[in-house]
Amino acid sequence: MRDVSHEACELTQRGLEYYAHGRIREAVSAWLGAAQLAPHDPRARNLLVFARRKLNECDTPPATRSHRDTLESPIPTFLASLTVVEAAEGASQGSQDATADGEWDQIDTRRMPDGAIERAAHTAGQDARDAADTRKQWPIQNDKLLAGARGLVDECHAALTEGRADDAALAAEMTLQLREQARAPRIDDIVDSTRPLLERAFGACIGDMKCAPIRAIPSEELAAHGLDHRAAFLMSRMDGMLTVGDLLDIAGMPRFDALRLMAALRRAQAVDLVPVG
Amino acid sequence: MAEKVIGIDLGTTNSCVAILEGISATVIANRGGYKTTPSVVAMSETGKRLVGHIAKRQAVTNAENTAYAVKRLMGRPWTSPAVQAVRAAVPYGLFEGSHQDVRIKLRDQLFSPPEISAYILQEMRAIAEEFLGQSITKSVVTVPAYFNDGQRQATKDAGRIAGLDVIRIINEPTAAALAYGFGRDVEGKVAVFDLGGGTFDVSLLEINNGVFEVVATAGDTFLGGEDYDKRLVDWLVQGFAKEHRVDLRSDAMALQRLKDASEKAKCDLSSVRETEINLPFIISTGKNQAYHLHRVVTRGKLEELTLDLTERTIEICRTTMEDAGLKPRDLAEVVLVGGMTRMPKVQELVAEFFGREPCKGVHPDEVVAMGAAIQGAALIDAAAAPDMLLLDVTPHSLGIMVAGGYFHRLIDRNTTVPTSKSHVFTTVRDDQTSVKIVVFQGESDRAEENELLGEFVLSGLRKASKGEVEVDVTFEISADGIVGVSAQDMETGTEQHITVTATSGLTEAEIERMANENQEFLVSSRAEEEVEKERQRIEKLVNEADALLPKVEEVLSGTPFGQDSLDNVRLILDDARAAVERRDAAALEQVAEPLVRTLNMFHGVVDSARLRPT
Repeated sequence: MRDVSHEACELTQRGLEYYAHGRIREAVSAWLGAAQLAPHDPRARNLLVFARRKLNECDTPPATRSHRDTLESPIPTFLASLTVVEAAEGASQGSQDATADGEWDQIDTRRMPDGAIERAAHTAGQDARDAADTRKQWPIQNDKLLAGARGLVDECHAALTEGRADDAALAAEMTLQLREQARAPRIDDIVDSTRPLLERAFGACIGDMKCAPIRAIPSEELAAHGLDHRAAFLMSRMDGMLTVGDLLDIAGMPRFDALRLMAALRRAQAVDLVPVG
Repeated sequence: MAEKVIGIDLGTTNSCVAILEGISATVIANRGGYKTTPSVVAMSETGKRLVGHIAKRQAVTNAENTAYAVKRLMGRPWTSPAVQAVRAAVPYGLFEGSHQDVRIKLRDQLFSPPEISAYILQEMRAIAEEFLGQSITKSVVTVPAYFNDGQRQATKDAGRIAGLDVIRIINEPTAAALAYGFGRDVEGKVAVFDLGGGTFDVSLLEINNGVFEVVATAGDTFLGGEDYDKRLVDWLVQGFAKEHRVDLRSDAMALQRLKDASEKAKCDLSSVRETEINLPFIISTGKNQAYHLHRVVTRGKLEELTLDLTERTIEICRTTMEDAGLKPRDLAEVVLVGGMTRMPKVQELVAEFFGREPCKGVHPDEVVAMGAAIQGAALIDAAAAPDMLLLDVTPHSLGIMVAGGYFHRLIDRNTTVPTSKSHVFTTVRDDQTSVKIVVFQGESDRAEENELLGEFVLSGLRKASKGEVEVDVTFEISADGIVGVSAQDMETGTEQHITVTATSGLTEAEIERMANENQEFLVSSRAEEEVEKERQRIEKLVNEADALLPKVEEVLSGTPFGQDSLDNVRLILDDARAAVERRDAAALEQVAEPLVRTLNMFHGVVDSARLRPT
């Protein structure tokens, strides 16, 4: 007894696995098979159209392709810009402890936007390795932290207004990380009052909520992107059928956190969005 | 367009919808391509109602707000042992309703079991409507053979709330037998072995001239595929803990992934001898350490882990056959129903016990819905199933309580309806002037062990010695299943009468309100979707306008009318941003037109600047 519907689902799943490992041709062939087995199933059809388009993009000269973001966290550099003076004074200590608990490795690892943050960090003249030493300089002066947080919020707003969704989301992410790591009470007020803005920035970065996200890298690689098992959980729910909106509903975490994580996955180019026809 | 009737198998863990197309029943796949849909309903953090696969995929991480296996609660009073057993086993809240019925709490809302079932029926209806491209209002829904009138009525009420007219409720084993074409070419006794996701039933049917009689039915409402999954999950959790000293049960997300993967592995092992469970980055310990779960499971291991569960089903078959006084050789066929019967070990033990290979040819998880579809088509068009006799039968015996607390049957179970039966009773005491007629439904000889349907008193009897006064009691069941009981003093002609209507625990007004609320919910969900679509469109336009604004400002800066226009534009953009922020439908509608005009103007200004010679 042949179960065509089951076979089609299996093929669709296999195609998703191929796609996550960058084997787009194999994915196309699997989804073609699924679409032929179950012509009424819109999922395989949508995935097929999407993958074929992707294949055409891949066949274009490499210069036109987008590159994955760097894996360095912008936060140490950013904090370095706030502590430049203190860092110079206490540079000899702390380097040993800087990577002791791997805290820096856990935070967001996307590139910095081309806006205010990057300029500030550049002016500070620190690279990311030196910046790690600044951990020992806590507390950074509160007014500098607050100004930094405000600067990030402004950058988020500006990037959003200018249509630089990725930069807006990065600034939003950094704002949140700054709050989480600095643990300065007045930063909470700044961040909480701008929550709708941050939400919009993440939403803009993610893209069309009616599209279905699919994995563009294997889940095993997430750790290398500084993402945790919650991101792996989100990716495990992606089946080419659930839309971004659906995914946020079943994320098993507060919606804002899921939105933030989805934006991080998008910026890391760990997921692609497939239009649902 | 001809009216169609869909057949729905409303299961404890999965539901399935089918339709008769031409001469064969077709099972309709849902949007994900799956032919069964989980009978799971959840409320998301944002109050969104989730039904089916999407609800199941978050069942562990949102356990308190996810209702599953609600069928076990249908039509049962709060005090029922079954309800209390479910209460102890599920993570969602159960509360007593205003009529001693059951209410399920999801987020801060209370729902009756028929309401939750209605959302599942509604999903099945939507799947069918999308496939057929037409509206569906009529359905045949299946229920277990042991369901009493109250439970059947609750299923009908669920249909009403979902906006479906349930034109017939049929027994699941009967539907399975129908799908195999029994009744036409098979007469005699048939065993239906139904091992689903959450329950196990075995039914023995007697098929004669198109009448399907349930001779015996038994089962375990807490034994099914989920127990098999659980064994596999336990094995994986223990193995992982041994290897990494990390308890995966401590993390809901890890557990959810584990549960999904175990179910898939179990299904795969029905067709292959070994499979891999690969869950990358299943958990992290907060020390930047990613743990992956990778394990190979063999069919033998799964069988070893679950052998006692499979043996339990066989034991139930054995006692059921013994109770019915049947031997395996008395059976004409054995039918497998439910996804779990795909498991080779289950098939092997069933074949061994019944001494014959069970029927194969129809998918076990689709067969019930197919039978319901065949029955549905035959109900509206006799030509669709020309050889099928469409006889509805009473699922339980009906009678009254007599002296000593015994149950006197007037109408035996499996009697075809409509029907009527009378019996003359006499007084049991000297000078007895009234008799109390207490109506019960069930199979026990002790009245109190059956279900009480109603009672009334016939008074004004002549004083006489016991046994002298005669009272004629008549039971009538209409084609709609409504039971009327009357008692008449044969001397005086004085009569009393009650009508017993099965109740699910919900009042007529409640059902009406729930149906209206559900309709309103559907309408407002669609409206919200439209608002969201419009909000996204306006947001996109605002972003586009924001991006063009600096260039426009630059171009207009030298012109005399520039500032006024730009001030107006900024106001429009502010209004649009506010409307987007507030998700306000009216405001979004109001800003749409000026925003589009603004954007056209921007494009015009930018284009003209580009064309202007430098």
